[in-house]
Amino acid sequence: MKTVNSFDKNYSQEVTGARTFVKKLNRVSGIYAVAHFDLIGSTKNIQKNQEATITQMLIHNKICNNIIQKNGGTIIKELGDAVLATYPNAPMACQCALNVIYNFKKYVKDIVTKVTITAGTLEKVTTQQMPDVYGVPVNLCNRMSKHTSKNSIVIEEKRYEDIKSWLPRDNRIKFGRPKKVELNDFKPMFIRKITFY
Amino acid sequence: MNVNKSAQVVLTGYDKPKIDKTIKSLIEYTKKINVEIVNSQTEISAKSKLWGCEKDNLEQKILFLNGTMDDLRKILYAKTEDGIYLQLLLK
Repeated sequence: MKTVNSFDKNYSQEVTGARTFVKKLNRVSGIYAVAHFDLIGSTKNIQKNQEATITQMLIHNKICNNIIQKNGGTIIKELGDAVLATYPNAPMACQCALNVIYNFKKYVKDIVTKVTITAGTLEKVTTQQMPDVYGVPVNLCNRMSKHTSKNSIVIEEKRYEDIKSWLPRDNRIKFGRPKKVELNDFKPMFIRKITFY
Repeated sequence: MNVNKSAQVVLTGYDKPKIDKTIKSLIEYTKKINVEIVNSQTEISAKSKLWGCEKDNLEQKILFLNGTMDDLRKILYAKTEDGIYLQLLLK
Protein backbone atom coordinates (compact mmCIF):
# COMPACT_ATOMS: atom_id res chain seq x y z
CA MET A 1 0.00 0.00 0.00
CA LYS A 2 1.27 3.45 -0.94
CA THR A 3 1.94 5.94 1.79
CA VAL A 4 0.08 9.26 1.93
CA ASN A 5 3.18 11.25 1.01
CA SER A 6 4.05 9.20 -2.06
CA PHE A 7 4.93 11.10 -5.22
CA ASP A 8 4.50 8.45 -7.88
CA LYS A 9 0.77 8.46 -8.47
CA ASN A 10 -0.17 8.45 -12.16
CA TYR A 11 -1.95 11.50 -13.54
CA SER A 12 -2.03 10.49 -17.19
CA GLN A 13 -5.56 11.87 -17.68
CA GLU A 14 -4.50 15.26 -16.31
CA VAL A 15 -1.48 15.31 -18.63
CA THR A 16 -3.54 14.30 -21.68
CA GLY A 17 -6.25 16.75 -20.68
CA ALA A 18 -3.73 19.61 -20.60
CA ARG A 19 -2.48 18.77 -24.10
CA THR A 20 -6.04 18.59 -25.44
CA PHE A 21 -6.88 21.90 -23.74
CA VAL A 22 -3.90 23.63 -25.40
CA LYS A 23 -4.77 22.18 -28.83
CA LYS A 24 -8.25 23.73 -28.62
CA LEU A 25 -7.05 27.23 -27.71
CA ASN A 26 -7.65 30.07 -30.14
CA ARG A 27 -4.18 31.44 -31.07
CA VAL A 28 -3.63 34.45 -33.34
CA SER A 29 -0.25 36.01 -34.23
CA GLY A 30 0.19 39.73 -34.68
CA ILE A 31 2.78 42.45 -34.28
CA TYR A 32 2.41 44.87 -31.41
CA ALA A 33 4.34 47.44 -29.43
CA VAL A 34 4.62 46.28 -25.83
CA ALA A 35 5.10 48.43 -22.75
CA HIS A 36 5.94 47.16 -19.28
CA PHE A 37 5.25 49.58 -16.40
CA ASP A 38 7.11 48.61 -13.26
CA LEU A 39 6.74 50.06 -9.76
CA ILE A 40 10.14 50.98 -8.36
CA GLY A 41 11.31 49.60 -5.02
CA SER A 42 8.45 47.23 -4.33
CA THR A 43 10.57 44.11 -3.74
CA LYS A 44 12.60 45.93 -1.10
CA ASN A 45 9.66 47.80 0.44
CA ILE A 46 7.38 44.78 0.76
CA GLN A 47 9.85 43.21 3.20
CA LYS A 48 9.57 46.28 5.45
CA ASN A 49 5.85 46.96 5.20
CA GLN A 50 3.82 44.45 3.25
CA GLU A 51 0.39 46.06 3.58
CA ALA A 52 1.52 49.55 2.56
CA THR A 53 3.54 48.19 -0.36
CA ILE A 54 0.66 46.12 -1.67
CA THR A 55 -1.53 49.25 -1.47
CA GLN A 56 1.12 51.06 -3.53
CA MET A 57 1.20 48.21 -6.07
CA LEU A 58 -2.58 48.33 -6.44
CA ILE A 59 -2.59 52.12 -6.86
CA HIS A 60 0.34 51.96 -9.32
CA ASN A 61 -1.38 49.34 -11.44
CA LYS A 62 -4.77 51.06 -11.36
CA ILE A 63 -3.33 54.46 -12.39
CA CYS A 64 -1.36 52.79 -15.20
CA ASN A 65 -4.51 50.95 -16.34
CA ASN A 66 -6.57 54.14 -16.38
CA ILE A 67 -4.00 56.13 -18.38
CA ILE A 68 -3.20 53.24 -20.76
CA GLN A 69 -6.89 52.97 -21.66
CA LYS A 70 -7.03 56.72 -22.39
CA ASN A 71 -3.97 56.43 -24.67
CA GLY A 72 -5.03 53.68 -27.04
CA GLY A 73 -3.35 50.81 -25.19
CA THR A 74 -4.74 47.41 -24.32
CA ILE A 75 -3.96 46.06 -20.88
CA ILE A 76 -2.82 42.47 -21.09
CA LYS A 77 -2.05 41.61 -17.52
CA GLU A 78 -0.88 42.77 -14.13
CA LEU A 79 2.18 41.08 -12.72
CA GLY A 80 2.11 42.05 -9.05
CA ASP A 81 3.97 45.36 -9.18
CA ALA A 82 3.84 45.76 -12.96
CA VAL A 83 1.43 46.20 -15.84
CA LEU A 84 1.88 44.88 -19.38
CA ALA A 85 0.09 46.62 -22.25
CA THR A 86 0.09 46.46 -26.05
CA TYR A 87 -0.28 49.28 -28.62
CA PRO A 88 -0.57 49.44 -32.43
CA ASN A 89 2.78 51.26 -32.68
CA ALA A 90 5.81 52.29 -30.63
CA PRO A 91 5.19 56.09 -30.69
CA MET A 92 1.78 55.51 -29.05
CA ALA A 93 3.41 53.32 -26.41
CA CYS A 94 6.06 55.93 -25.73
CA GLN A 95 3.59 58.83 -25.62
CA CYS A 96 1.48 56.85 -23.14
CA ALA A 97 4.54 56.03 -21.02
CA LEU A 98 5.45 59.72 -20.86
CA ASN A 99 1.88 60.55 -19.79
CA VAL A 100 2.03 57.91 -17.06
CA ILE A 101 5.39 59.16 -15.75
CA TYR A 102 4.24 62.81 -15.89
CA ASN A 103 1.08 62.07 -13.90
CA PHE A 104 2.89 60.02 -11.25
CA LYS A 105 5.36 62.89 -10.81
CA LYS A 106 2.59 65.44 -10.60
CA TYR A 107 -0.02 63.69 -8.44
CA VAL A 108 1.53 60.68 -6.69
CA LYS A 109 4.84 61.68 -5.19
CA ASP A 110 5.44 58.44 -3.26
CA ILE A 111 4.95 56.08 -6.21
CA VAL A 112 7.54 56.01 -8.98
CA THR A 113 7.38 53.94 -12.12
CA LYS A 114 9.82 52.87 -14.83
CA VAL A 115 8.96 51.63 -18.30
CA THR A 116 10.40 49.37 -20.99
CA ILE A 117 9.13 49.35 -24.57
CA THR A 118 9.70 46.99 -27.44
CA ALA A 119 7.74 45.58 -30.37
CA GLY A 120 7.45 42.30 -32.17
CA THR A 121 5.42 39.19 -32.79
CA LEU A 122 3.00 38.17 -30.07
CA GLU A 123 0.57 35.33 -29.96
CA LYS A 124 -2.80 36.23 -28.48
CA VAL A 125 -4.18 33.17 -26.80
CA THR A 126 -7.82 33.22 -25.82
CA THR A 127 -8.96 30.95 -23.06
CA GLN A 128 -12.42 31.06 -21.51
CA GLN A 129 -11.55 34.32 -19.80
CA MET A 130 -9.35 37.19 -21.04
CA PRO A 131 -6.86 36.86 -23.90
CA ASP A 132 -3.27 36.50 -22.80
CA VAL A 133 -0.15 37.18 -24.85
CA TYR A 134 3.05 35.22 -25.31
CA GLY A 135 6.15 35.97 -27.32
CA VAL A 136 9.67 37.31 -27.46
CA PRO A 137 8.72 40.98 -26.83
CA VAL A 138 7.19 40.08 -23.46
CA ASN A 139 10.39 38.35 -22.31
CA LEU A 140 12.53 41.13 -23.78
CA CYS A 141 10.62 43.87 -21.95
CA ASN A 142 11.11 41.99 -18.73
CA ARG A 143 14.86 41.55 -19.30
CA MET A 144 15.34 45.21 -20.32
CA SER A 145 13.72 46.36 -17.10
CA LYS A 146 16.96 46.24 -15.11
CA HIS A 147 18.44 48.90 -17.43
CA THR A 148 15.77 51.47 -16.75
CA SER A 149 15.41 53.68 -13.69
CA LYS A 150 12.89 55.98 -12.07
CA ASN A 151 10.82 58.14 -14.41
CA SER A 152 12.62 56.61 -17.39
CA ILE A 153 11.74 54.61 -20.45
CA VAL A 154 14.12 52.11 -22.00
CA ILE A 155 13.42 51.26 -25.60
CA GLU A 156 15.10 48.95 -28.10
CA GLU A 157 17.22 51.04 -30.46
CA LYS A 158 15.53 49.66 -33.57
CA ARG A 159 12.18 50.79 -32.15
CA TYR A 160 13.65 54.18 -31.26
CA GLU A 161 13.84 54.69 -35.03
CA ASP A 162 10.03 54.40 -35.06
CA ILE A 163 9.50 57.04 -32.39
CA LYS A 164 12.29 59.60 -32.81
CA SER A 165 10.40 61.97 -35.12
CA TRP A 166 7.16 61.87 -33.15
CA LEU A 167 8.01 62.52 -29.53
CA PRO A 168 7.23 65.90 -27.97
CA ARG A 169 10.18 68.31 -27.94
CA ASP A 170 10.38 69.33 -24.31
CA ASN A 171 13.33 70.35 -22.13
CA ARG A 172 12.16 67.95 -19.43
CA ILE A 173 12.66 64.94 -21.71
CA LYS A 174 16.27 63.84 -22.18
CA PHE A 175 17.33 61.25 -24.72
CA GLY A 176 20.29 59.06 -23.86
CA ARG A 177 22.75 57.59 -26.31
CA PRO A 178 22.44 54.06 -27.67
CA LYS A 179 23.94 51.57 -25.26
CA LYS A 180 24.98 48.01 -26.07
CA VAL A 181 23.69 45.52 -23.53
CA GLU A 182 23.75 41.78 -23.06
CA LEU A 183 20.49 40.42 -21.74
CA ASN A 184 20.08 36.86 -20.51
CA ASP A 185 19.11 34.51 -23.37
CA PHE A 186 19.28 37.31 -25.97
CA LYS A 187 22.00 38.34 -28.42
CA PRO A 188 23.78 41.63 -27.58
CA MET A 189 21.56 44.55 -28.55
CA PHE A 190 21.32 48.32 -28.38
CA ILE A 191 18.87 50.11 -26.13
CA ARG A 192 18.25 53.77 -25.42
CA LYS A 193 17.03 55.52 -22.30
CA ILE A 194 14.54 58.39 -22.32
CA THR A 195 14.29 60.21 -18.99
CA PHE A 196 11.62 62.62 -17.80
CA TYR A 197 13.03 65.20 -15.35
CA MET B 1 5.81 77.28 -40.47
CA ASN B 2 3.99 74.27 -41.82
CA VAL B 3 6.32 72.75 -44.38
CA ASN B 4 5.29 69.60 -46.19
CA LYS B 5 7.34 66.51 -45.44
CA SER B 6 7.54 63.09 -47.04
CA ALA B 7 6.93 60.01 -44.97
CA GLN B 8 6.15 56.38 -45.39
CA VAL B 9 3.69 54.23 -43.53
CA VAL B 10 4.80 50.64 -43.20
CA LEU B 11 2.16 48.14 -42.13
CA THR B 12 3.41 44.76 -40.97
CA GLY B 13 1.45 41.72 -39.89
CA TYR B 14 0.62 38.07 -40.46
CA ASP B 15 -2.85 38.56 -41.88
CA LYS B 16 -3.05 39.94 -45.44
CA PRO B 17 -6.79 40.76 -45.36
CA LYS B 18 -6.24 42.74 -42.16
CA ILE B 19 -3.40 44.71 -43.80
CA ASP B 20 -5.59 45.41 -46.84
CA LYS B 21 -8.44 46.56 -44.59
CA THR B 22 -6.07 48.85 -42.68
CA ILE B 23 -4.72 50.28 -45.96
CA LYS B 24 -8.27 50.97 -47.13
CA SER B 25 -9.22 52.79 -43.95
CA LEU B 26 -5.91 54.74 -43.99
CA ILE B 27 -6.59 55.91 -47.56
CA GLU B 28 -9.99 57.19 -46.43
CA TYR B 29 -8.48 58.82 -43.35
CA THR B 30 -5.74 60.67 -45.28
CA LYS B 31 -8.46 62.45 -47.28
CA LYS B 32 -9.89 63.85 -44.06
CA ILE B 33 -6.59 65.09 -42.63
CA ASN B 34 -5.07 66.70 -45.70
CA VAL B 35 -2.32 64.13 -46.24
CA GLU B 36 -1.55 63.21 -49.83
CA ILE B 37 -0.72 59.67 -50.90
CA VAL B 38 2.04 60.19 -53.46
CA ASN B 39 2.68 56.61 -54.34
CA SER B 40 0.55 53.53 -54.52
CA GLN B 41 1.14 50.76 -52.04
CA THR B 42 4.07 48.51 -52.61
CA GLU B 43 4.33 44.98 -51.39
CA ILE B 44 7.69 43.80 -50.14
CA SER B 45 8.80 40.63 -48.48
CA ALA B 46 9.40 41.22 -44.81
CA LYS B 47 11.77 39.32 -42.61
CA SER B 48 9.89 37.93 -39.65
CA LYS B 49 13.19 37.35 -37.86
CA LEU B 50 13.36 41.11 -37.37
CA TRP B 51 10.10 40.88 -35.44
CA GLY B 52 11.27 38.25 -33.00
CA CYS B 53 9.74 35.23 -34.66
CA GLU B 54 10.71 33.08 -37.63
CA LYS B 55 7.49 32.59 -39.56
CA ASP B 56 7.14 32.62 -43.32
CA ASN B 57 3.81 34.36 -43.72
CA LEU B 58 4.74 37.91 -42.72
CA GLU B 59 3.24 40.58 -44.96
CA GLN B 60 4.28 44.21 -45.33
CA LYS B 61 2.78 47.08 -47.30
CA ILE B 62 3.89 50.66 -47.68
CA LEU B 63 2.17 53.95 -48.43
CA PHE B 64 4.22 57.01 -49.39
CA LEU B 65 2.76 60.19 -47.97
CA ASN B 66 3.16 63.93 -48.11
CA GLY B 67 1.86 66.36 -45.51
CA THR B 68 2.75 68.67 -42.66
CA MET B 69 4.27 67.17 -39.53
CA ASP B 70 1.07 67.88 -37.59
CA ASP B 71 -1.10 66.15 -40.16
CA LEU B 72 1.29 63.22 -40.61
CA ARG B 73 1.38 62.70 -36.84
CA LYS B 74 -2.38 62.01 -36.91
CA ILE B 75 -1.65 58.82 -38.88
CA LEU B 76 -0.19 57.31 -35.71
CA TYR B 77 -3.65 57.41 -34.16
CA ALA B 78 -5.51 56.12 -37.22
CA LYS B 79 -7.49 52.95 -36.77
CA THR B 80 -5.53 49.80 -37.54
CA GLU B 81 -6.65 46.19 -37.41
CA ASP B 82 -5.61 44.15 -34.38
CA GLY B 83 -2.07 42.77 -34.77
CA ILE B 84 -1.08 45.08 -37.64
CA TYR B 85 1.95 47.14 -36.63
CA LEU B 86 2.20 50.67 -37.99
CA GLN B 87 5.49 52.47 -38.59
CA LEU B 88 5.46 56.09 -39.70
CA LEU B 89 8.93 56.98 -40.94
CA LEU B 90 10.01 60.42 -42.12
CA LYS B 91 12.03 60.33 -45.34
